[in-house]
Amino acid sequence: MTQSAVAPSSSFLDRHHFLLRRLHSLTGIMPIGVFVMFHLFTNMQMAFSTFQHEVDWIHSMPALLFLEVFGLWLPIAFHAGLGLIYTFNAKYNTRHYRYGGNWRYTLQRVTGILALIFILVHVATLRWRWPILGEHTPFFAWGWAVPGSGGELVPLATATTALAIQSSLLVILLYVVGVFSAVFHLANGLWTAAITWGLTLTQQAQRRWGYVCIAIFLGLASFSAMALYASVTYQASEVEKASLAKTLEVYRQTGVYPHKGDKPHPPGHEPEAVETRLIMPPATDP
Amino acid sequence: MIAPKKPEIITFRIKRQDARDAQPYWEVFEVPYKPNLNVISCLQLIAENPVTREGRQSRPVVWDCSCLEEVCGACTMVINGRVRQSCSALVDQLLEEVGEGEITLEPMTKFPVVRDLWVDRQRMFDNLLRFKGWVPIDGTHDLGEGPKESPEEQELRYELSRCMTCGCCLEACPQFTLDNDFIGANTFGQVVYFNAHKTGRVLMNERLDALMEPGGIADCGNAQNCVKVCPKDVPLTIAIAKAGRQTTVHSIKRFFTGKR
Amino acid sequence: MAAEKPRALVVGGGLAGLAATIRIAETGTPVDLFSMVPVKRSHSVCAQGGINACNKVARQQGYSEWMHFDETLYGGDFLNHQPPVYDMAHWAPRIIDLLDRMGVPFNRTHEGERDLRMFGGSLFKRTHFAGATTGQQLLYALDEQVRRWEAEGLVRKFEFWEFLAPVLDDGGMCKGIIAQDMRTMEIRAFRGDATVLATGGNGLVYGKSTNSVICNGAAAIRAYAQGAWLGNPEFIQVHPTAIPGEDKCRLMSESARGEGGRVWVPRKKGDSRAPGDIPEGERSYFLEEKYPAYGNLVPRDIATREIFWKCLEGYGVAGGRMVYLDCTHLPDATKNKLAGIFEIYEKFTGDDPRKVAMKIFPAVHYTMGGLYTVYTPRSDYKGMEPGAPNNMMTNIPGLYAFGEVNYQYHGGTRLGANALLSCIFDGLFCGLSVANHIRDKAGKRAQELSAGLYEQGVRRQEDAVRQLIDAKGENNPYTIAREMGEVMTDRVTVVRDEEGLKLALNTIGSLRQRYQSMRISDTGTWTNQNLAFARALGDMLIYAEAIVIGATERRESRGSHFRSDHLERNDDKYLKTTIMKYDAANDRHTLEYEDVPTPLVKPRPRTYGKVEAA
Repeated sequence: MTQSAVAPSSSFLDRHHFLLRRLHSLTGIMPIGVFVMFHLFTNMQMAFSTFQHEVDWIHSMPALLFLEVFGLWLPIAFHAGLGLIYTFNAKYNTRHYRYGGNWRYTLQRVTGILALIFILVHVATLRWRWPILGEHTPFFAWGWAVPGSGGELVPLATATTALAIQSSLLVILLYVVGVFSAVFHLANGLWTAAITWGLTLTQQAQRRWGYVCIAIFLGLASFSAMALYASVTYQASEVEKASLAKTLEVYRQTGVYPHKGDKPHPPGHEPEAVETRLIMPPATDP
Repeated sequence: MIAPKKPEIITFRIKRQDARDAQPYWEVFEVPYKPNLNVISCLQLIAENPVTREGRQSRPVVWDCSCLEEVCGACTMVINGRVRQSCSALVDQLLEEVGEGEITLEPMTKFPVVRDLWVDRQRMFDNLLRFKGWVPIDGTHDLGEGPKESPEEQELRYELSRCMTCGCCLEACPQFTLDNDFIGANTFGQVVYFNAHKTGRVLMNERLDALMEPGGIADCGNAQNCVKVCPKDVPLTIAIAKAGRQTTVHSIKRFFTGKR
Repeated sequence: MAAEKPRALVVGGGLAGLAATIRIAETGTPVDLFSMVPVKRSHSVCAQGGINACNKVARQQGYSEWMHFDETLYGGDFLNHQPPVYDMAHWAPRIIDLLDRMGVPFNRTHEGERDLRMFGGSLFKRTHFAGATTGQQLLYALDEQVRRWEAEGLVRKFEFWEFLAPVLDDGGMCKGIIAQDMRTMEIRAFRGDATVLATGGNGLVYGKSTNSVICNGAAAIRAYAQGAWLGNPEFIQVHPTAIPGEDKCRLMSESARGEGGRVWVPRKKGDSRAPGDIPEGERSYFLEEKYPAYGNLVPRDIATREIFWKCLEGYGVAGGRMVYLDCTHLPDATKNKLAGIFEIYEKFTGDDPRKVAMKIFPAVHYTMGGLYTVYTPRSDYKGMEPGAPNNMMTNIPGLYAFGEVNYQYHGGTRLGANALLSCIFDGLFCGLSVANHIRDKAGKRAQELSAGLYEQGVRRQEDAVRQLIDAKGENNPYTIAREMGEVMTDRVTVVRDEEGLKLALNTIGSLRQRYQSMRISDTGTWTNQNLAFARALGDMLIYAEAIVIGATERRESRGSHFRSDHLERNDDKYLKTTIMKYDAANDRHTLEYEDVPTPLVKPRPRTYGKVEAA
């Protein structure tokens, strides 16, 4: 009657339980957390003229795809996958136990899910330009008719990002919620990680580290706010607007957004390289 | 402290369940107001005259209790939606919480109900066995004094040792549920308690190995409700962080030295 | 299972039961441990103050084990048997060392030594403590060691099982018990070659006491009904300082006085001012005035009576049954030392003792009497023969009584911080006796006895249950219990006299009549607490009767037993143990006296330096 109720289990997840849990914590900080910090720092520069330069620098990295896959997508998939399992193994009770810690515990899981949804949309659209939201898909347009481009597509990072975000109130909302969720999730994750790893032992230490995490939250949140504000208030030039219009036109005709290197097509002409993996969005009225 | 007006009748809405697998149901009882009542004394009055507000003859409410001084840990229940010891739940304070309303009594939700407000907390005691919650002394013979310790060391151990296995921390913990394998704050506290004793430390590696299994310390989500609801102010969050640190160090050591 | 080793059964999971379990298991004998609550919830957790033992510091100040021994006898008004007390006092330092090794977080000095405090009944600092929850800490330490034996497979725990009766073989030797699972209500027989009852006191007989709700004394009476004798049942300790409550009285530890708390009442009768508004000159510190040497630290029975009388004279707080226990004047460091017990007061009353004087009144606290036990003294009477199979055995061979249910050690009244000691000592010292009894004296193994003996015991208990469930009378067990508690508290606690005792006996008699036509409101067969309570009530009524009879016949005042119609101690007639025997078939108690030998210390008057008012 007093034997342990927990039966020994030998599934992979159970055998490496502790390691996986700690890797879950670790991946949240490094690389994901560090990436998010740099990412938001870069975005903040949308408020300044240096943004394009930063974007160009990133795109100039060697083995970018390799870095992305192993440095970002796999860690994110790992962190998110385990996180989802953990999230549904709990019983939330903020109704009766209204403590700050309990709210943060619940919010950590809610923001994790929100951030995950946001990241999927964000990457699918701005990075891979999958038209999953139809005409409201925030896309990364290339400059078509920039003087001096000789007909080549040139990157217009600031303008097209801003216009993408401006494309719909829903997109703005998605970005506001998504970015702030990610920022909270990161800052609060840093706070709990310090306990998990055994760095902050006492309540005083946890409070002190909490102030640091609040500072990190505020810093990243203000970067985000600056970037969002810059995007939302960005005034596109006529040339940029024309580029955007042209991109949309191609999309309406072909169902895909043009890629870098695509030749400009005359209206009504089918592009040559349509990636078959793209899924057609529902037909929209031209 | 004392509210100006007191009701003449105190109303209790009590969640009842006749057996382990039976359907729970609610009954309402009324008790005449007196100053200085606690929940236990009201349940005692109901036991003597178990008639519901509707006038129906019922049976005395079954609940678990022993010392009534908040040191034995037996009489934990969910009162007005929050877990606490029913012996120290003073009716005057509960009435302030509910205003004119009813005081609700429910069994804890994270443990299987035996009957009415009595739940089966064997899981907690099983964990103490699993985590080798003892100091492995050589025997009861006269072998002189135990190890000396500083007042600071004693203070932390004493605070941890006041844990009365009441289950409040687990009931309030969002990570701990009726059917998952999370070990919970009280056991983390006990592991740290025994690891802090010079002789108890002999079993530290075994305790930490067990702590790294599924449901172990790594599953704690740091909601920290445990320390907020603990009736004995056991420094559970310090224990959790210490257990985190000990397992971190232990796992790194183990990584480089292999399993003993 | 034919080759199963002989087992010991231990009933009760408090300090005595756990200590016994550890000691017996240590000899390699398997133990089945029974408790009505998970053992961590036993009543021992309630002990707050500490545990006495001669120690390095006190020894250098002139204290010794002999003095501890002498204080215990003096405190007990010389009714204690001296050899067991001698051993207890001499084992005390070793028991502290053992507890220390087990990891009890005793308070520490800067150098890491165990800290000490003053306690009633001694002029030396000889009390070790762990915060304000020494009993809890000690219980947990023993619980942990038992768990270790559980892990090794030598101990099986049966928690939430209630002891119903001992099983006696044809020769009258105890060979097991009948017990009931309080959840499933299954009644089962357990075979055992020796049984230890460590079932604690009987505070519930008094209704509201400082005891836990499980301390109903029923186990002792269930043995009494099978022929075990009671010793000194009339000796019930009333703790002078308890917090009166609706469901029970909560202890205010003696350490409040040990650390300098002062007991006083207003000099003016019925003074209803707030305590802080009553100037120093209008307060009567009556203990300090009457007993300058010991002051507020007089032994419990004296403090109790003085408080009781003050209230009877009308000096109680606002004329009621309460006096002040004042700690507001203590320095902050001392207050912090007492934080634990202050917290208890505040938790249950809403007032902060740091700022407002506490209101306290005596409440029934400890049962000195209990099951009568014997022992083998050493030839020079300095202690018991270690391992002698009959140490602390009742008159039923194979049935032992350890801890509070054992009538030994404390005589007429118990000194503060001696209870934890006596419980652990019983278990550790006499546990070996149990193992030796099983090895040498138990005769035919319980495993080899006929099943009929055990089945019969189970059937008898099942019949008793059916009778209670089927009863269609008109009386409510809870009402009977309340009336029993009231009459016992009013007539058989602090001050007793012939008339009051007669009234109490009559009342208990009529309550027993009413018990015969009872009706319980829960007739179910699953976790029926109503049934368990009603059954225990029958036993408590018998216990109440034994207490009253013992108190009536002892026409003297000794220790906690104070007869206002017989004020003096009478050694010629009553330096004797009260032995009570019960004939269950005819429902008759018989009382006998047995001389208390005093081989080591001759009785002397017990005055505690009292200054007689002219």
